[in-house]
Amino acid sequence: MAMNKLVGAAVRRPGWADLPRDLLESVLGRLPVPDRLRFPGVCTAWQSADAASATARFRAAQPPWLMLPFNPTARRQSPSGGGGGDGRFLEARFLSLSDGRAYAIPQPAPPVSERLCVGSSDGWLVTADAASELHLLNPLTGAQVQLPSVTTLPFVDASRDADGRVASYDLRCCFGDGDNDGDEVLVPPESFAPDRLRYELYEKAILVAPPRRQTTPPGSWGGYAVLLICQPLYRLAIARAGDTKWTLLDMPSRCWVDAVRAASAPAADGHQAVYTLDSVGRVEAWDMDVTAAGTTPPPPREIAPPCCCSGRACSMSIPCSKYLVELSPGHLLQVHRLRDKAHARSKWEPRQERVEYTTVKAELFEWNAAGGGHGEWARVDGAGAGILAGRALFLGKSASLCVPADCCPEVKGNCVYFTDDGPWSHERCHEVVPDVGVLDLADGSYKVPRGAVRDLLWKWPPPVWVFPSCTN
Amino acid sequence: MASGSGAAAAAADAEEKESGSRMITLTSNEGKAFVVTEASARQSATIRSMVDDGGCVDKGFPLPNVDSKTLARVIQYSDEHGNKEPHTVDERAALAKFDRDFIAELDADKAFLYDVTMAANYLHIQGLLALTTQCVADTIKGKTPEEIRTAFGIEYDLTAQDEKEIKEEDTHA
Repeated sequence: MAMNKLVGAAVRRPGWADLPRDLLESVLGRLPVPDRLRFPGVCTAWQSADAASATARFRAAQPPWLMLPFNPTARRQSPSGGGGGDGRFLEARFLSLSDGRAYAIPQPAPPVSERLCVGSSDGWLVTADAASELHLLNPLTGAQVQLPSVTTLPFVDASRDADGRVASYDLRCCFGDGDNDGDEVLVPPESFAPDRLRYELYEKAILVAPPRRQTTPPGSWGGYAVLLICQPLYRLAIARAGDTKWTLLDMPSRCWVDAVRAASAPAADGHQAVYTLDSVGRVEAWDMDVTAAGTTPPPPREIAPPCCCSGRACSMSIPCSKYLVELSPGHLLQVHRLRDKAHARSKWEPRQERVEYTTVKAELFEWNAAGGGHGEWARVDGAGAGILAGRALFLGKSASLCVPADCCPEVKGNCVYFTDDGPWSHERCHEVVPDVGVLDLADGSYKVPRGAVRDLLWKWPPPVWVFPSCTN
Repeated sequence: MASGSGAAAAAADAEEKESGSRMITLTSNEGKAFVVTEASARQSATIRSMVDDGGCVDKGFPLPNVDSKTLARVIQYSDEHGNKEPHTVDERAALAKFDRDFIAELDADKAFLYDVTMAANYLHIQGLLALTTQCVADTIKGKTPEEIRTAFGIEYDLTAQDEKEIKEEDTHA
């Protein structure tokens, strides 16, 4: 015993990191879902206890969450609860598809109720705040990374008031190589209030590489790269860790509508392959250097030619939005989401004044690569044991993702889970019910996800799929 | 107290066992002896099984893993739960209030809460263990990993590789 005491004095006193595994599991069992997901992010001992527990299975099988819009009447009812003192919400609510329950999780400033999500992957959201500035936000852990200012995009200028705060933004719709005065400006710049620019400017943000915690300086984040599809003309811009400004990638613009990170792991030298999809269905592959801030990647390599669906206006983004999914390394699937005015199906009189679109159909095209850079887009049938048998797609502003349906009993195979992705405006986002639903390819039905029916009566902010991760 | 014939002694013994009035000595790792009622000691499944196996009740039980401060606190819990059996609503409410106050005090000192948790685990006192693990869970609730580390005084020791592995599990990629 004396020996024990001596040894005990020589080494570090045992503490919470040394809690035996069965006790850690007992603690785990007493935690609600969001906390269970964060649990392994504490330290290695807790992480391994978590990995050995039944929770790990649960966590690995955690299907996407739906970030829900706010109930504006709750704001007035509970000024101290979910809402901030100034009537703004500081908690975000998420619907877990696995149990059909909503979870409220506190979020850091700026208030989450004033943010618009323009991207989501790897547990991170890309949000645009009330000044149209972008952040990476992990809604589970509250970790946050500020991205370069919107004013570093070459076609955005800020007008500031006497205090240096942005009064309005000017968006130039026609431009040359930035500061080239000789270039003819055909359209005068359009002016937007600080919180309105985001609807005009941001189409979709894709995480090329998620942030990693850095040891120096402590608490900082590195290793990330964000690809932005932005207006005018659906151009590509990239910002990496260490970047102070956005770098435009394509000159002239190509009207990009979606981009996905290639499933192959990034090479050791920090390069990541990215597929981009343009408005006529062409696919190109980029080799992006995640580590070299400020550089422009080499021009893309053409992968697949245009692809046209049965939609009458296939090349236009509003009636037909397009997504690119990588089913397995190199195996590409293009999804055309066909929309129609909600009026067309509405039986109610009087019909709503506001034009509103609803998803009516999805057409899938599989890329069959042949030798010598040839190949073709082949229409795949959704009926029966199609290409999505046992798999579900999650599409919207979030990263276009294919998820195995056995990840949770509530996720159904051969279905496409859609969130509304625009075109957005302040009015549409605040006044029109978002187009969120599950399209069953087998029978063509389009239903609101279970548990979301009541919440989707609210509009702001437009809901987005979230892929929970607690490691940050 | 027990005297006379062997049979009578055994009967008295059994009676004592039932009423739980026999006294048992627990010794901390610092050698300090604590005399408790058998009913209190029987809150611990570890001691209960030793007593039932006809173990060394007279010699007492040395507890090399528990220090005096922790043992005193554990005994405070098992006395309250072992010596009284709540029958009325009021008595149950009083016991619940005792638990609340007991854990609130421990909650304020996380290092001591750890010692009590470990002792409760070693002694297999299920009620106390449930109380302390619930307290740990309540502390974790709503906190970020960073805040959890601060609350429990845990050092950050995850590597980028660890994070990557968890992430891969998470994203269905």
